[in-house]
Amino acid sequence: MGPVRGYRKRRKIEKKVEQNATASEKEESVDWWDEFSKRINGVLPPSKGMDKFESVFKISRKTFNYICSLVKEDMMAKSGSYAFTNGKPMSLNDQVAVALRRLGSGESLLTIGDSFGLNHSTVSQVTWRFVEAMEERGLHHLRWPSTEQEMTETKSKFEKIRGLPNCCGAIDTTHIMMCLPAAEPASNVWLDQEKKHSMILQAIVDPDLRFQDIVTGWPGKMNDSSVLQSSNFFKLCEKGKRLNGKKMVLCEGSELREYIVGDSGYPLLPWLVTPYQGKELPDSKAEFNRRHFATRMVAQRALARLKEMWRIIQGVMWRPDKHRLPRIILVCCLLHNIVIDLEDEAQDDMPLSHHHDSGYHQQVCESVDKTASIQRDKLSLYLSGRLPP
Amino acid sequence: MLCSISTGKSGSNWLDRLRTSKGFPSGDDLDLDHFLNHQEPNASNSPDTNPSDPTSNSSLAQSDEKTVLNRNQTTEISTENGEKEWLGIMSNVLSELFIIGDTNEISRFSGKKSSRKQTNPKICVLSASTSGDERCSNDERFAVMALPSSGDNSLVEMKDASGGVKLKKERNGGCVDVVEEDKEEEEEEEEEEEEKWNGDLSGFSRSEVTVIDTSCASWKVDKLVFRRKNVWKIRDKKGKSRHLEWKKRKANLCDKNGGGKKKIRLSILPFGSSKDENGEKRLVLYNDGQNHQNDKRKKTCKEMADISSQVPKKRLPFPRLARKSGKGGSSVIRLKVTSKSKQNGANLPTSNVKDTQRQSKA
Repeated sequence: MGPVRGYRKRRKIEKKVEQNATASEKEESVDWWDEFSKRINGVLPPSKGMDKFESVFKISRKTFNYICSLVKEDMMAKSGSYAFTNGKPMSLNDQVAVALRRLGSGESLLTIGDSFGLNHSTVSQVTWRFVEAMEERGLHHLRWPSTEQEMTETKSKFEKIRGLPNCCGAIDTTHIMMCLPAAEPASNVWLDQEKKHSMILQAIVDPDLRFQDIVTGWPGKMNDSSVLQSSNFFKLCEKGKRLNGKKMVLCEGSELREYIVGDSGYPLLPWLVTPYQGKELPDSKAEFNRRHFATRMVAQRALARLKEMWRIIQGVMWRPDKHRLPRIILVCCLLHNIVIDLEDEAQDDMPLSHHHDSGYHQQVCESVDKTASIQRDKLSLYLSGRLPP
Repeated sequence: MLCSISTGKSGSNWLDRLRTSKGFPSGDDLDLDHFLNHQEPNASNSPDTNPSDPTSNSSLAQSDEKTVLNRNQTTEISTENGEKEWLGIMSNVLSELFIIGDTNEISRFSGKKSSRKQTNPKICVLSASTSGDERCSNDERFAVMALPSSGDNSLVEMKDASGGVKLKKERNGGCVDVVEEDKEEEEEEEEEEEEKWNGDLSGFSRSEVTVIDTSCASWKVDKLVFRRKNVWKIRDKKGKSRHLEWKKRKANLCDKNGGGKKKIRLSILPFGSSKDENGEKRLVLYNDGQNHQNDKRKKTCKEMADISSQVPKKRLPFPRLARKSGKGGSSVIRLKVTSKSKQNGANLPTSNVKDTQRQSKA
């Protein structure tokens, strides 16, 4: 299932498809949308058609077309075609539209089925086919920066936020709510610190709110630091295979390695900088915390936007398949990144909230690495300008 | 027939010896009151003779008490009807000793010793059995002896016994060559496994999860999460037909002694905690209060590297063969080691924890 083999090859193919698709399908899709919008809304004035498209799907036509081109091969290759209740077969655009609507609105299968003229089981099947196709074709949109150039760009954007140098990412965790039968003992493991059933999504985010790394599927009962510890990102960092790039000289004799920032729910590690804990901190530490908070805000915003935009994971899911849900979450993250990668104007209309986990209290991890603590002190002094040159 | 030869040869002396070895009063004058008073402490002593098998001991002790009563009945009959009844019972004993007749019925009660008896059917071993080692087997033989006259009672006792006894029976059917010291361990382990399988909250609860980690080459992995209170165990899922494999594994426990362990298992050490006294790394959710954490922080950081080095082992992208997974599954039992220390995790102050972990989000 891994995307490693043939990954580069596939990317090349996709690029070609992309180029071909955008030109040829555009005209096609205009016609398609006219017809489709009539189906769901009745006759619309043509001038408002575009606006309506973006309000229905929350993405621009350009992004929609790109997504269609990504999944075309996989979705159309599989045998068995889907049809509307009136017997008309569903085109690729129809299928992608239904799936995007399902993921984006979070409406029930029945509601979507009714509004699109489909049987609810068809909505379910089409959505799942789309999820599988996206897993296969869209995974390159979610990856850790592979080139030094990419990383340098990321670092400089982070530094622009509030001056934190050599920062490579911001980590945060959110909970995807589920409604599970409380009477079943098996549900207990999904019961989180707030006594809600949830699945965990851990994300490392870049300054453009793009997900660089995600871990999902773990039960809500696990805390933030445990999820981090069980992740491959943790392993790679501990082995020195990640966040091992250029060090930055803070002052003579002291260097700052690459790191990510996270809240106090995470341990303080040489590669993971957390804020100072406690009240009535000295000025330099309080200032450090303010800068740190502003910098790691990107992770909170990204998660808030993810849930806002792909509402299937926002609300409380009714007894979801716990093996499918992580894959749906992954695809939502891929779509989130695609919107950013394609510089979709739709994202500008999204509110910049950072409340992705309302009702959840801040977790606190007391673990502190000594080296990391010294490094943080130096960084704090550097930011307050008290470090000798 | 061996039976007739032996009785004819040794006559009443032999019978006396056998009675004495069984704890019956010798001679024709059977003092039942004396006999019962003499036997009571013996029965209560029996658990001490085999401390390695607590579950079966309790059931044996129970059945032993029953058999004492049954013996009471049979001996009463024998005084009324004479020596012939006794010979009938003795022939049952002898047929059991020499494995004459239905061996299945015998092995059910004689348990692990059955194999030894089949290979070395020596009569002198029984008659000279006064040492502590042999007393256990004596008890077992009593149970068998009582079977012909009051078999129903004994059977009910065995059926009412705990699941542990049932497990033991299954294992004996599948593999008799298990080293005795390991038996206790395995039994505990199997019971735990059973608990997990049944999703019993008193044991580890078992959940199957699909985890997506985009930093992995195989970004989607099926995992098994075992949890008992704050203790977490995470393993790779072996295959879809796990239940069947597990059942199969029980019958092939010999594999455990023979082959190397294939199992891949990860115990996660939490931040702010450390190994317990058994050296078992455990994942604990905010298990330690702040006092513990200050002492252990440095240690934890070192250990985290160790854990991380285990991570790649658990990620095997290729599917495993059913046969292999059965074998690998046997090592699941190793979870038992943690069962000894589980109480530590369970006793950790969770109320404290909540206080430290909850602060209002900024």
